[in-house]
Amino acid sequence: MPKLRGRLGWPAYAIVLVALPLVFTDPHTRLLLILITMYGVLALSWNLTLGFAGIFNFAQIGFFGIGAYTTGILATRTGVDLWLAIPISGVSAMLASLVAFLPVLRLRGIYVGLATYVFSQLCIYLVLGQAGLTGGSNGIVGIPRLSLGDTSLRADGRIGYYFLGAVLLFAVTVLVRVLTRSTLGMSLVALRDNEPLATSRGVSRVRQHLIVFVIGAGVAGVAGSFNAYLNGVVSTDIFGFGQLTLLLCMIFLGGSGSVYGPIAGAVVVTLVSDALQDAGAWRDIVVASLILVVLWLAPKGLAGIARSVLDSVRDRLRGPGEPASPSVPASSTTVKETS
Amino acid sequence: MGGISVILTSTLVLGGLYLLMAAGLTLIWSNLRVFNFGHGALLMFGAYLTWTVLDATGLPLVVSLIGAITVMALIGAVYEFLLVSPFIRRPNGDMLVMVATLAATMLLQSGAQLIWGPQIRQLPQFGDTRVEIAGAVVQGTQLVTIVLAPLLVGLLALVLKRSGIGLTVRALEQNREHAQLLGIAPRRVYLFVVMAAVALATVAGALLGSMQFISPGMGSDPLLRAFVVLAFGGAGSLAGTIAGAYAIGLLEAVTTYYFGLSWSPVLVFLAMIVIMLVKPEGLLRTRVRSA
Repeated sequence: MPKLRGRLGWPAYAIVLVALPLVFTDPHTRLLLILITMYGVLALSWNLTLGFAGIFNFAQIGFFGIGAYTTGILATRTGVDLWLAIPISGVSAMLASLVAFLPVLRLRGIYVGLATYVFSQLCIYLVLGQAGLTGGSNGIVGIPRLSLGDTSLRADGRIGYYFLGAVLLFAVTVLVRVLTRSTLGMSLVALRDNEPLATSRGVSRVRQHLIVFVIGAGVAGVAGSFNAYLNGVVSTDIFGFGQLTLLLCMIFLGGSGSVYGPIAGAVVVTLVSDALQDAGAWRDIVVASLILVVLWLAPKGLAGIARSVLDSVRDRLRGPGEPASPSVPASSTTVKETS
Repeated sequence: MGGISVILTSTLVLGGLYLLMAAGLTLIWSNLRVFNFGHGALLMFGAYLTWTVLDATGLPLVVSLIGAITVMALIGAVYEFLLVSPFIRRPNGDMLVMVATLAATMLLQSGAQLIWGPQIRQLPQFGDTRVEIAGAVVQGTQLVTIVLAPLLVGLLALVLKRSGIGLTVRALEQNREHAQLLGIAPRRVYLFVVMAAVALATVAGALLGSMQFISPGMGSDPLLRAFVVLAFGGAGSLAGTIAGAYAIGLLEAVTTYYFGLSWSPVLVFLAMIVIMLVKPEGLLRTRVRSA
């Protein structure tokens, strides 16, 4: 069964991604689908560091914004090919992540959270300080739209943007899946769950964390670039607190430390957030409460719930005669020493 | 000479504000081993509450502030009960607490927006005493900040050193297991610590709301600075926090004076990165504590 599922899973995922815009054709739902792919990419990339590596990384929003601003500046002030600006934005977010990583070199745990949080907030000051380049508090407006040949990606209810986002989402999902199954992924989990043991077996914490940190930042930068082209506008709102909590909600609702959880989180939170769009401050209250309720009741999120449901179904199917398989913990959580 | 006295007074004012924030954060950190990302939002809520008490009752500002502190201390107790204690014992609890306090920030900010609306409020000046030092005029709230902040934090230090509850706080801070063996209940200490920290944040909020304006986002800047103070002075030591607060105040005053308002946070943050690289345990601290 698992083998069959593994073989069918990816084509099914691709078919669903392709079929969705054909089923939902009205512009508003299309836009929601596009947002889901973008937030899915972002949540997946953040979960690499936050969930799998256990790095208290709160700079991801900063990388996202840096990617968006890089695209904004390149597209409005230079003659760089618009498509080329996307990978360049990824690279610039990667470079920024090297700066944000500096504190991680010698800090641990919650100090990293502090430093990276300050980093992402600081991006706002940098953008405001460099008003000549970034437009300051006005932001960058009039970013040209992407087009493929003569067809604008905005045509036909933004279907071009949807497919671009879907391709990104598919690629990033594969990337995350491959990464987490690789020796890199396993060493990250080992570092997260028992750092002294992992390092004593020859795993370099700094090297492994740096790699995953930079990869995550690159993906976030590309997502930021996508966001800039989608909206045609970049402003400091992109670094804002609202985005931060929205994404945290996606990751923890979906299940941190699970590969597909953040995608589910992105779907749910985007829809909830859209439904409450006119509710003003209530929207933020609902999103924030959602995080808290998930943390209280289902710390492993939707992925954890789905897994325990699947496990119980499987046990029931197996029948009473056979011994129940020892349920594998959803994502390894180890008892942390209280120091 | 004008420049120096301007820098000096703004150092003392900024340092005092950061001290009130950072002392609470450091107290929470040394006992609960978490950073309270909601501290800025609590400051903001305290400022709004002070305004409401003042507006509704017409009592003197100081009395209103004391009323707001009482209410905020209760909110702090709820905060501890809902956001800290459910998670702190869980595996990976510090990250959960961090995320929970971020969510709480969002809740408090949007809550404030709903309750008090979008218009900007301001508290009146605390007193109208006016002192002139070497050409720089210090008056009203600024003067109160300069005096009150070290006074309150000194009081906190005294309570920690002399009183019974202070003794249990320090015992828990130094050796959790042993303290529990002696019959100290961590929950009660956590409650005291969070309430004291929230009270200090409320004072900072009222002072800030009188010097500048009250808005739902007013807490994020002081919070960032308080984080830098902790990095500078070493989280967990009150003496280090005091020195750190005034050092960051000085750094900010000098950089604002010479480089302007938008560059000052960048330079302050750069200083923080350098400190974290060179001495992760804090410049003013020799005893290393694993995080």
